Amino acid sequence: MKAKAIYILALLAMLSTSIEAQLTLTNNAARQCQEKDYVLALETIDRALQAEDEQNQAFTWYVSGYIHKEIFKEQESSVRTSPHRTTAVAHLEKALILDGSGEYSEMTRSALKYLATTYLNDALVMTREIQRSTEGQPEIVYAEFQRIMRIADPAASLPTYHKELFRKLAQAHYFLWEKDITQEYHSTRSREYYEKVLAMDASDCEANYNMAILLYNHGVHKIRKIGSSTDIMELIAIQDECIQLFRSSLPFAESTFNNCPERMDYFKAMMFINRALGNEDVHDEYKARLEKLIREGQIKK
Amino acid sequence: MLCAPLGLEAQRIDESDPRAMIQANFLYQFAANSNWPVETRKGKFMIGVVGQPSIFDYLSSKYATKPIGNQTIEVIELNEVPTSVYVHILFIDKSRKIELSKAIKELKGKPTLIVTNWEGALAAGSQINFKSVEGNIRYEMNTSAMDDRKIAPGVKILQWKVD
Repeated sequence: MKAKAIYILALLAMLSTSIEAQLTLTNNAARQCQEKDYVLALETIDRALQAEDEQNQAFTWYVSGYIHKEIFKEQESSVRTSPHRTTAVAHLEKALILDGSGEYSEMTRSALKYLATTYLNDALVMTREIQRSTEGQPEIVYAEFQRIMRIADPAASLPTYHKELFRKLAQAHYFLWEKDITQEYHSTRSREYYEKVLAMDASDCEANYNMAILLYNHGVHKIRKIGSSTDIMELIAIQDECIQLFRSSLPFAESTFNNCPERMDYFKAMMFINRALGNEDVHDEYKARLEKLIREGQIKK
Repeated sequence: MLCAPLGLEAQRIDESDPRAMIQANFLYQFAANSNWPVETRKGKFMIGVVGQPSIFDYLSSKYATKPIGNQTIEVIELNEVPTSVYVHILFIDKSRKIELSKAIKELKGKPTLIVTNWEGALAAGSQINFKSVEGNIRYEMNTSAMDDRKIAPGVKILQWKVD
């Protein structure tokens, strides 16, 4: 709210400067926008963008971008394909290009940064809705966030956001796989995304833990599928495959257990993975430690 | 910077016991791939489990009512070696080692296949014993003890036994 007030004041300040520059239509559009008369503001700024003496002014494009941004905020914030957002970005970018003196750059970048954030949020929310046919959508939207953010704030550190996106995609694929464990495609995708997160930050607690769970549960589900029609040879082959999965899950569980704040889930991962590998003494040891911590109230059940 | 509510349900470890599942699956294989004496081929095909609830639960949920020849499987959870009920297969868990000597005594000469899961159990008198080989569950067999009980293991079972 405070930030908005500052930018409205800044817009008014710019307005008075540009009055001297005789940007009549642009100034009128800015006032109309201030009064929240967006229909009129849009009509006026469209005329300004056609007017020979205003169409090459950075301020005109900034005001246009700002109006489209405000309309997006007020009316289309839940519309992922909002044409006003797209136009706002395009016009603000044009304003930056035309703003040789950098007079409006700070305001323009700030508006762009806001819009970039809305793309990031959309990308992250979209990860929860993906299906096989739409799995690429969040990354497409995220790419737009990155592109705009690089313009808005070239110094911004983006890896934190990459990590967040990959983590959400990994989780989304995990839950798709859990819904239908015959869809091994999703467990593979989940694993790939966790690998990306861990390549960026090998100590990421959530990614390490979730990777351990993914691999371990994958093995358990494979064993659960064994039935009366499974031949003994097949049973042995499946078991061998599952032991490999359990073995690969252990280092991730160990990393979480050794480097992250104590949690019951981390104890359970160590217990069950070791039990699955036949290390019953180790299982019992972790179990005893967990029970002690629960008794002492250091870990909640 | 992030404004949207993004909480996904957390991933949770599957707490079921995969080693118990594997052992239960093997018990079914032993039932299905052995040749049982004629006098045992009537009524239900009985599998008794002493001391390992997970194996009992898994066997019951997965294999109860499945056919072995013209018999259907019934799984029973036992506190001790059965004396009044005939079981085709008796599984004794390592947590109840003491039951093995009782079983050998009580079931002497009966066509009951005794299956165990601890080191030294085969030498102590069980006919099939699960063992861990590099983390994998395999089984060792005493085929002459099975012969004594007139239970003939099938080729598939013999093929995968370990020494």
